[in-house]
Amino acid sequence: MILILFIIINLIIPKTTYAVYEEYFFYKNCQNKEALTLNQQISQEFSIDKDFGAIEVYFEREGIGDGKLEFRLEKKNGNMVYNNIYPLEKVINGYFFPFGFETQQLKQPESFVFYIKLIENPNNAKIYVCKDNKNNLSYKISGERSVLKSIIFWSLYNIRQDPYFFAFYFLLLLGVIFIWKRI
Amino acid sequence: MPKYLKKAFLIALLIRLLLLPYFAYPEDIFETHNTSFLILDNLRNIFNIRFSPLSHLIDAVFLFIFSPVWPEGLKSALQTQNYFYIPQIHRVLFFFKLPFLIFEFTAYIIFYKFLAKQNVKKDKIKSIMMFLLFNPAVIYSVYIFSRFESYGFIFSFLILIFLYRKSFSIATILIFALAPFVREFFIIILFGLILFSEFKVWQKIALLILSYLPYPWYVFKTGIAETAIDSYVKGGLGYYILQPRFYYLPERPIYLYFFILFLLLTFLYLKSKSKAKFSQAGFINLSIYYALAYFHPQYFSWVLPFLAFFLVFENKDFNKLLKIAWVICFLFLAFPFSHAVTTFGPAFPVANAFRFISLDKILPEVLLYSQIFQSIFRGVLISFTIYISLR
Repeated sequence: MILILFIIINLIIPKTTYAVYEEYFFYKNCQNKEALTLNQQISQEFSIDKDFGAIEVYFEREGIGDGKLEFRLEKKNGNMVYNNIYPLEKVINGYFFPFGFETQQLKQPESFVFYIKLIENPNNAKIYVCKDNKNNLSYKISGERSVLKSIIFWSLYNIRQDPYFFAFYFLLLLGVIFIWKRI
Repeated sequence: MPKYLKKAFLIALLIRLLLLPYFAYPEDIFETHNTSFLILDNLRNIFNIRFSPLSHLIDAVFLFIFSPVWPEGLKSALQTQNYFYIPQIHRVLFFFKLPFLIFEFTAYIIFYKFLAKQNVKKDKIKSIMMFLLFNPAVIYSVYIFSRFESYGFIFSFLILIFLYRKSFSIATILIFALAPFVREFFIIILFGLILFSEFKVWQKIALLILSYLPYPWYVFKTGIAETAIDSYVKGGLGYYILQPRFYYLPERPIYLYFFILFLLLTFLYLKSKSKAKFSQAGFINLSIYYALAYFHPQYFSWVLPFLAFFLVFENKDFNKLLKIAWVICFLFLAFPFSHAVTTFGPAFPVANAFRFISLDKILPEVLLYSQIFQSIFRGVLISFTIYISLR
């Protein structure tokens, strides 16, 4: 079945043009809603072992404003990765807002920190972020890959994550094939 | 068991093993196993389950048996409904679904042994076992969509075997009484099965009472009546049954399911000479439901034991009828192909990207084609059912 799916995908989907969105991490916990105040900076540290191209942060808002949000992504050692300013009007109430950047290709797990700052808010729109009791933000880490690359990546990733199970699983499959041949 | 059948069983086993760790419709399998973990924590929690309590109990028993293999953080991931980030998901799915495989194959072995004892022709046994082992509806429902429908298979086959043997015993009563606890669809078919059986009248009455009392007793005794009735009449099986209707006068509906069901059961009563008339009644009941109502794709697998059972006892046109049954089972795939969530969605454990593939990228207007084939499915199924009831 996997092989059939693999063939279908390869035949039908143009690999160069059809990339799909992928979520690598998802966390949403709205125990505490924190209102962003002007020039206050909030941050979130995270570690990741997969290439990623976006951080999506959950916002709630009241009122419409022409303000601006600054997003900054740094490696934990302080090296800047990405920095940009976003119009506040694009932040939709009750949705994850995607801060996208060039795909970060990782050879090994790395730690990053992202910062969000409300730098302009002329109409005093109220913008909230969601946090849990340990002060963790509600956010997602996502990216984009071709389907083929995605299958290869996740297959290898999952085998590395659980080698004992896959050893057992492949032996089981071989066992069934062996018995079938012996009958 | 002959060599060819052993080989067929092994190929079917291999197909299922290949699917076990890689496919699932996440909301259903993880939600039910979350509930089963609650039963494992405290057996009393079984009285808070609003549907299929025995299936949840079976899952709970296997959760206990396989407890050494569950990864750390599984229970909390299930409770927070973080289904796409379950640790070691392939291992989890493999062992969650392994009981489905055990029950399905046990049901087929029971059925095979029964057929062998009845001196059914070898060709027929071969054809019917192939129909069950390589049936796309079973493979999709139980191993891709990943619902515990195979638990019902054992009960369906045992009920049919008891009825065929006219065996009225404690075991018969127990199986009939427990069946609705496995899957509630038994409630809508047991009366037909019993009425068309060859039991004596007092046995039929006793079996009807003993089959139909325990489940309502459980529902009302445990205090889940309101939620159970809500989910079944307003949102589930009952809702789908009551929706297809037409009005012969304003505010005077005819519910098509009941109307056509009783029409066909009457024809069946008057015309059928089959030894397995009761299984035809079960098949007609369920297939009228599928032909007329909206249903969740995995429900279709419920019909297969009844279909297989009456087909094998058909002396006339067995091969023709079996071919149509195969066609119906392939046409059934039009239902999951209506939405990305039921086609590529269940492959999310293979790669996270499958959650986000849309069918339009592959075939524009796919919903339209799916609905056309769904209509063909309904047409073929209802013709087949009418033919069966009129033979």
